[in-house]
Amino acid sequence: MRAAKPAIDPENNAASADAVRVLSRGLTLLKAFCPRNTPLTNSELAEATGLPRPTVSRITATLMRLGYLNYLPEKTQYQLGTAALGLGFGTLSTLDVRLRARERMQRFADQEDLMVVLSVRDAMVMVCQVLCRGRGALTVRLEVGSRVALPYSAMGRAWAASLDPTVRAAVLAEINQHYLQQNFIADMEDAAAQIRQSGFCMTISELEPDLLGVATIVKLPRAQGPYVLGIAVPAFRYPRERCETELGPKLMALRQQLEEEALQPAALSTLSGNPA
Amino acid sequence: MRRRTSPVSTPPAPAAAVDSLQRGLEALRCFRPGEDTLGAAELASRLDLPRNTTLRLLQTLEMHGFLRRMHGTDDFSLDVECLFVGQAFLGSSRLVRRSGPVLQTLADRFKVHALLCVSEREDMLVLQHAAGSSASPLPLGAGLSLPVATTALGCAWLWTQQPAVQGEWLARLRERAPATGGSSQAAKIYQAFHDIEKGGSCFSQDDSRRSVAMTATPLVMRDGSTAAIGFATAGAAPGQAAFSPECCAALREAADEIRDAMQRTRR
Repeated sequence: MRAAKPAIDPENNAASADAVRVLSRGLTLLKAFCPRNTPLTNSELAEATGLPRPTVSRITATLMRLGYLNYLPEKTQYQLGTAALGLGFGTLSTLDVRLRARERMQRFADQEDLMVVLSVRDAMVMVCQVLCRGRGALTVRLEVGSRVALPYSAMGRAWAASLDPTVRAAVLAEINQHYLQQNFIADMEDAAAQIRQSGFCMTISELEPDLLGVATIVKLPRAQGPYVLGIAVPAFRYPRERCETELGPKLMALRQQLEEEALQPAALSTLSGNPA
Repeated sequence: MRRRTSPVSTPPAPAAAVDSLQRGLEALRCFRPGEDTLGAAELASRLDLPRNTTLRLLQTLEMHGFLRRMHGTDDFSLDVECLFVGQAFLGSSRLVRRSGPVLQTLADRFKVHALLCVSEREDMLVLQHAAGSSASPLPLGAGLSLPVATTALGCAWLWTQQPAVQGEWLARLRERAPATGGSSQAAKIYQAFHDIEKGGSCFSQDDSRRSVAMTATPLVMRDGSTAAIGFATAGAAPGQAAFSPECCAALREAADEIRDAMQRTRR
């Protein structure tokens, strides 16, 4: 049964602002548990978010009642609850283009025995949205939802290379400001030159020692923004030359397949139990 | 020692404000698998809220990175914070960690999709999904919901519940669909219960979509929490034969293995 409509009067700005503020604070609290869902007390949450403790207490009580937080009585702490997984995670990770991309990417990862990632940019990080591993023992700690520092990754550099030169200059300034005392301009320009020449760019031991990354932009229809397709392999298995002549072209072929498949009519069948 | 917050310093939040938190989060749950974008009007309709109120909630969700507005339109899509929050929950779940390798081994061995689900609201929420290396693709994954009444995973979970809870479910089912097979659905649930009592697992087949067959077994932890694990496979009318007795036995053993692993790590 549907609950009654909330008593928000559209004409009442004060009530409306109050309502939006509560939602905003609730979202702030949920985000405070990322990325590890570390258990936190109301006081710790207040400190982490800058919200007044009484406000935090009220909102955590509501979030707990709704199942978005669990309460751990031994230490009077809260943690994200099962319902937090229902906030779009499943839908977002199975959107049609990504679902199809994932099948193709998994085959590629199995065939080449490497890790392949589809990511989007968010502020100063690249967020892994689809991630497929081959059966090899590549031990990079990445999962769906992982954030990779933008300027250190081939994916981030490929994303920056896709920007209009004026926008790229502004973004690079922002990146340099964010990563104090480091200058990524030469690295980013080098990546942009590689992309212009071959369509992909590479990084070696930038993100992790002895890790080689190759990345290219992929254009998916109805996408939220530019996607970046990247692969990661141990540098000892793939010397730079082999990456340039072998892995890079294979990545470009995968990119083409993903773009072509994404243009085909949607054929997603859903098992969801939600009523239509 | 646990401190109590003074009622003087924490007056209850206005009902409308609390409701906005609930409704705002509900907006994220409106997106169904395959729905890239939803318009503000459609979201307002699904939330049963006025359009202006909905827009304010959507703008707040957008500001926090949970939604993204399509350029120049009132269409919204889910955004990366949904992934972060979901991944944070999954990454910290002992049940997900313990069940992952067990389910992947089974999925590869029997070339099926292996799933771990828990009850969430009126659905079964997938916590863990492992696809066998040559299993037919299915749009399954962590965070997706499956219906309780019509899937083996749902029936296996329902079996773990007290008779009063089971009764409520069955009554609701009959109430909702008296003319569209509510009773026959209840009969299928009773059959599933009977199969679990007799052989430890139950079976379901969804003919209306992709002939998805499922078999599932209940998972009752020693602390009393409940879940269900199961296999799913798609294809041309696979039927109950899709799951061999060996496959069902392995599923029951996997449930024991996960329960034991959870118990060991609790100590």
